[in-house]
Amino acid sequence: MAGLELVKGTLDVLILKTLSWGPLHGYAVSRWIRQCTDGVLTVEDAALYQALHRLERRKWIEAEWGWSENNRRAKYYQLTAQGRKQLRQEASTWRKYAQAVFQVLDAERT
Amino acid sequence: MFRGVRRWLRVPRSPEEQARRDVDDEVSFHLDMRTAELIGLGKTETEARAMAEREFGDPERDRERLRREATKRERDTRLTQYFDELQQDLRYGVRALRERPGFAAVAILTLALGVAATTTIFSVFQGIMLRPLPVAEPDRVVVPHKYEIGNPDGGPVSYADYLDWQERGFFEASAVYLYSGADLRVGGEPERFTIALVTEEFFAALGARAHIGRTLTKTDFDPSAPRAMVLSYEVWQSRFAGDSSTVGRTIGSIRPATIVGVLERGAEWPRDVTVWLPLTLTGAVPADWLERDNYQFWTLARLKAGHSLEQTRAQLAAHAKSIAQQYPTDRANKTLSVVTIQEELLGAGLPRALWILLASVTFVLLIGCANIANLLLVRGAARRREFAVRLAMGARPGRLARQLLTESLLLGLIGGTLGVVLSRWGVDLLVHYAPADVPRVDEIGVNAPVMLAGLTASMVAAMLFGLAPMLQATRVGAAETIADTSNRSSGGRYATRLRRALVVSELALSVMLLVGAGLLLRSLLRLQHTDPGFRAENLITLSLRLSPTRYPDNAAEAGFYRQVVDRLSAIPGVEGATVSSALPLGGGGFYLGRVFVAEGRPQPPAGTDLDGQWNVVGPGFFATLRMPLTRGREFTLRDDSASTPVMIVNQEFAEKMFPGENPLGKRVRSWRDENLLREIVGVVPNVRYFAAGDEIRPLVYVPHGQNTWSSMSLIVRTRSAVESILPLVRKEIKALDPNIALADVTTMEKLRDNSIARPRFNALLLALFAGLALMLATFGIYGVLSYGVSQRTREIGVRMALGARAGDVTRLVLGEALMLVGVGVGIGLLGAFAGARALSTLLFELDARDPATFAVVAILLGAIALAASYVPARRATAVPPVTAIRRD
Repeated sequence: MAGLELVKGTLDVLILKTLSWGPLHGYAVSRWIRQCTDGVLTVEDAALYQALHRLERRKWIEAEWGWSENNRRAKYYQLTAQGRKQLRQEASTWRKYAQAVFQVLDAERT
Repeated sequence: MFRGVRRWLRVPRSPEEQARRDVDDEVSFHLDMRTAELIGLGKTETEARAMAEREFGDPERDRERLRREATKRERDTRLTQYFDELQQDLRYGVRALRERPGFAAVAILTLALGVAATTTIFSVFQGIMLRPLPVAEPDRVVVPHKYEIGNPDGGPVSYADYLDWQERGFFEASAVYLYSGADLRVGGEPERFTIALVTEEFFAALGARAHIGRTLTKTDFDPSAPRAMVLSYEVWQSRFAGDSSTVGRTIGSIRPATIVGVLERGAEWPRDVTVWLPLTLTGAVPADWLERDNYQFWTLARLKAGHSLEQTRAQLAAHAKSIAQQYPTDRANKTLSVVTIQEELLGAGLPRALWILLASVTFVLLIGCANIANLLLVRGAARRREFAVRLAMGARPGRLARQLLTESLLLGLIGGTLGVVLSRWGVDLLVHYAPADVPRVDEIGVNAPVMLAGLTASMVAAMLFGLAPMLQATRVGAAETIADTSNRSSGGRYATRLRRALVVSELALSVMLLVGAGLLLRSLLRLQHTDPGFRAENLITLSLRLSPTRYPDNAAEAGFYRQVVDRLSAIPGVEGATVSSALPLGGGGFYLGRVFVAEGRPQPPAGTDLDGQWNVVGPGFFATLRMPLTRGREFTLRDDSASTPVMIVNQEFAEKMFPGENPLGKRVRSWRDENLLREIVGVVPNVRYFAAGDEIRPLVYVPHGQNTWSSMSLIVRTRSAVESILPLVRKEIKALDPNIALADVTTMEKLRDNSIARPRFNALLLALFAGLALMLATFGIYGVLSYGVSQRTREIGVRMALGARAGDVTRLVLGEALMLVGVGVGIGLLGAFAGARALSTLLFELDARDPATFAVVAILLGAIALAASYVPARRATAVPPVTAIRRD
């Protein structure tokens, strides 16, 4: 699976966005990111869980143990109010950043 | 019950374990899910799992990292949760207390009183018993004693023995000291200073340092050196205003001495001494000092480094044995041993009394705890449904228990703090009223260790009384209690039993305290009404000391005292005056024990001697004290050194020496000392000699004209108030010799009072505690019975509706009361019977199992407890049958 390496700092915002639709367990987050990017972005699962735990410690997301669709004990994550705020901020930063990069890349000499 | 306990005491998983479990679950869930997904895409199971693991990363390393982080997070979370919950509990606790201010006030006040009393007594206990003397390694300082084998009371030793252990190196340092006194003029009037003449190693043995200046050093003991003296801190403060230039001053006009230092405060030994002087011998040791049976030498020693008390005791005992073999006449049946300086300081009676007071006050605290526990149980019963609902809604039982405990501890903290604050006044009060002869009583205070102990006691008490409602609240099954909607149930049979047990223990403890107080009070009454053997009213006493330089011989001394007595007797309002070497009722002076043998009888073997006190008295002694002679005559001025040697003996001596015979005209000698045959010319009644509660002792009186001492006590009987005569007495003595100090000026009644100050103090304190206990126990039984009645309203109503009469209902409630009181008093009497033996040495002519005291206590407590039960019993009969049944 020869995907692209993730740019540093991207993963957090991807997770926050993924969780913005509702609580999910780690596996679901991983699957969603893979499907969304059509496998272009490679996220090592270990890094994903580390990021989840890091976000949990920063109180941007909170976790609760629950039961999965196939009745197994699973840890569900969901956004906190603080996390939602953070997502808005980071998303807008990313958009501005990407826009700036595109502007340079797409610029034509006049 | 045990399942409940285990459930809420369940130890939670460690943060590491919890984190590992969580991480492992999360990771394996992920891997399993991904594997299943890949299989669904057509991979074989092995391929799928390998791929899932590859995508995950390095499972082992990554898992480990995840676990580490998870552990950290788990710890943070738990800490936060703990503090959150604690805050919740505290808030909840404060609210619970504020919702019932009556309950809170009663509980806090009960606890505060108990803690205050306990802390007060413990401060005294700590200050007197536990605080070491401010000397180097106080555990090593010992006081050697000579003992009669089989008699626990030790006394001073012989100088020859001291020389032996010096020579053999039994101790690191040892010293002899002799008591002396001097009248010195520091300011205007001459004052009596109590002096210890000490040998060279005294301060080394004691391990005391100088506050300023120095203690005595080797050069001070050179007979040709200038006389050096050390002052006590107290005298330095009171007579020299704590002036540091005191060191270097020379005082005394006849044999002046230079003050070289002030001893460290609190390190005085012996305690009442204010001046230390070197004991120097010019020339050889006097021959009588070396006699093996001359026991007038007080000693002090420091154990060798690494030597235990037992080792040293064994060494001394072995040494005493060899001396006894060498000098059988003098030393058979005698042995040597040491006691620590602390034991010597406290004596035997004081520690016992303090232990008893401490135990008693702890009883009061326990009774208080039982009362609070009862209150909490009643309240707990009311809150049972609340807890049950919370349990059903998923509250952990441990959490509930913790919340209850927080409430109790909150009570404990508030009550304890209040109690410790109160104890400061308690200690002041106690120290103020404490008998003056209790050592170091003036140094007692509420210090940090005492306050800590008080708070600890309070918290422990809080845990104790918090435990009962905790067990009660968390052991009930949730469903059972919710189903039990009737809030008139008595809170379960278990709680009822617990409440009854608490009341029974309160009653039992109260009985024990009351019996103790009763015994001490009865003993005190006997003491106060003891006939001292003479009329103690209207007697002024004081002590005089004649300087050997200005009164060089017996004639001069006798002449002075004759003049004093003549002059004082001439004061209008004075009925008579006399002198005595020592005062009865423990008034001080020179108490001298001697052994006697009658003329014509053989010298008795050691250990079978007739001991008697030797008291030198002036003419008119018995008339002045109003001690009518039962036979013979009083001493007169004609009993002097030129006339026949005579003595007057007391009843006890006469009966012991000449049972069934007329002692008048018989001759007796104190064969080990004066060894002069004295003719008995009179017999007098027995007096209480060392204290108002002293046993009856054989006593002989010898005329001052024939055995002239320089230090004597003066006794003046007045017709009118003592206060008006005292200035005249001072004036007359001053006119005779302005350089003589009037020391220990007091009255015989005060001496009698002082001699029973300790028993009085003990009795009053114990009575106070017993009173508190009685009050608390009464509240206790009242509370339990009235709660019982209020819970049984329905039952009683039904009974009455079915035709029971008021009397039946009263009997029902009183029956329960009678059962509780009976069991409590019974257990208490048994406990008191077993424990009273501890009091026996504190009792004066009273058996510790005095049946009257036991009976009175049982009746008193029973009556009060039943009276307290009568109110709830009456209330029960007032239940109107119909309402009671309707109240559903």
